[in-house]
Amino acid sequence: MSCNGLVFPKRRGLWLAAAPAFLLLALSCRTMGPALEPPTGPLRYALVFVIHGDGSYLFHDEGGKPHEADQVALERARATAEANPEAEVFVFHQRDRRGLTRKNGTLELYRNGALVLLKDYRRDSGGMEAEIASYGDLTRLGHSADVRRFFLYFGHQIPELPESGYHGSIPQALFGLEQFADGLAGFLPSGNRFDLVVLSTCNNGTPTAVTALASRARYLAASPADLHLSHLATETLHHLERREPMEVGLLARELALAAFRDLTEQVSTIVTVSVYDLDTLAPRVSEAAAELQARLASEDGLLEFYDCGEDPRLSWLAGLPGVTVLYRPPRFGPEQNKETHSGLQCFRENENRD
Amino acid sequence: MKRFRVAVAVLVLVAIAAPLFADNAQTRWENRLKEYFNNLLLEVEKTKDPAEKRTLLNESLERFLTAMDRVQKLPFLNQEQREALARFDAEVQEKHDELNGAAGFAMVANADLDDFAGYMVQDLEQAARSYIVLSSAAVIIIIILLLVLVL
Repeated sequence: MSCNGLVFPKRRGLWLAAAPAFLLLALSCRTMGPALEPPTGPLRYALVFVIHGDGSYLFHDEGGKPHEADQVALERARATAEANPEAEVFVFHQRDRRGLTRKNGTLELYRNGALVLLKDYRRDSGGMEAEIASYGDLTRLGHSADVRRFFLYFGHQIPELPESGYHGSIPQALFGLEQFADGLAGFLPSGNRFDLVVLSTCNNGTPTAVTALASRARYLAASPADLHLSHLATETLHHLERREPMEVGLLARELALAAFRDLTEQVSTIVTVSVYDLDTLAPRVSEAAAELQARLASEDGLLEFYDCGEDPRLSWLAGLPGVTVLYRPPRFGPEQNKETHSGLQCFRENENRD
Repeated sequence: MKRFRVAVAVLVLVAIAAPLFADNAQTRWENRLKEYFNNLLLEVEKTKDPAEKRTLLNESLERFLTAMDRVQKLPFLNQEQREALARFDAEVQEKHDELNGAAGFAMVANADLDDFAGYMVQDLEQAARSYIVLSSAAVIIIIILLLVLVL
């Protein structure tokens, strides 16, 4: 009796014993081929979701019910993909290792609103190399210049400088803003930029992020503070075809406002979401970004994040053109009476250091 | 006897495979820490008397602060881990101060105790990830010790 060229020995007991392992192996491998009748139609929008779930993403809602934030983001990404009949949507879920294959990522590829491919993949590095490789192999819009492009990242704060420990399944791997910005180029045709990049993370609305991403995107939506639940709502991106002629800045502000309203109803911690017009803002904050980078280079401890508007040396960052700020102070805590926010987050060495 | 050998072999294979299916250990322990604070919120909400609510919050925060003190004295911690723990400790202390109207805070009103407990859970859920980002066996030991000391 043979199977794929393997000859089974007569010691059936051994094979029976191994059966559970093969079953587990089979269950751990998932690949769904193209749909029987692949959807057709124009593809005018390219969306890439990267959802980081390779760490602790447990949160509790007001009723104390537990949720995994990456799963919430995944559901939202799927809904956005299905509600865009003229889009190609890649949903990469970076997760912990499961199964004997040790795969730690899942890709869902949607075209014209339908799921056309589901496959597990393996990540070995801290950046997005595995995602870029899959994207390059599978996209039909890789070289199309006349396409609206959106990139959405959901996860914990992307470190200002490369750090290990970000990915639970590959704890030694380094990940940081520069790697992230470089990685974005892998999803773009040469010389192109994303129309909008969304960083659904804590503390990434910084001068350094603005500077690092200016060559990769026209607009950036991010939070210049903690972003509880870590995940912005994306319903604003449904049916992009109905928004033509599209004004991307307006779309970005609508997305931020919807997310802001959503969060202010759900949490009592600080809520702040900003939209950055990178062409307008990046040249104005490059000096501040350089100063912050210099601070980072001279410090080796934990960083303390705070509103740039409160920094004696960088308070001129408040009120710059190109920043839309949505802010509500926390209900309790030392900042409950802080009425405004510059929309940009700075950082310094932790003052409470031993 | 043959069946017995097969059964043993199956058990051995399952034992080998099981860890491969386990969640990341650090994630699991971080989640336990979040569940600790969430259970406190649920208990506070369940309690009717404001004085009892305040006592419950105070006792839990004080137990946690005492545990943090002990954990911070562990000899194997490196500088970065000490800093992370000190900052988390400061966050918890801040909640304790606000609850009791110390360190310049106005005391949390009786009518706001449920909301304050909810805020505390949300804030510490964020802080736990922000400050205990140092992926190593040491971090897991720290969290386990914390939970053993407070429970």
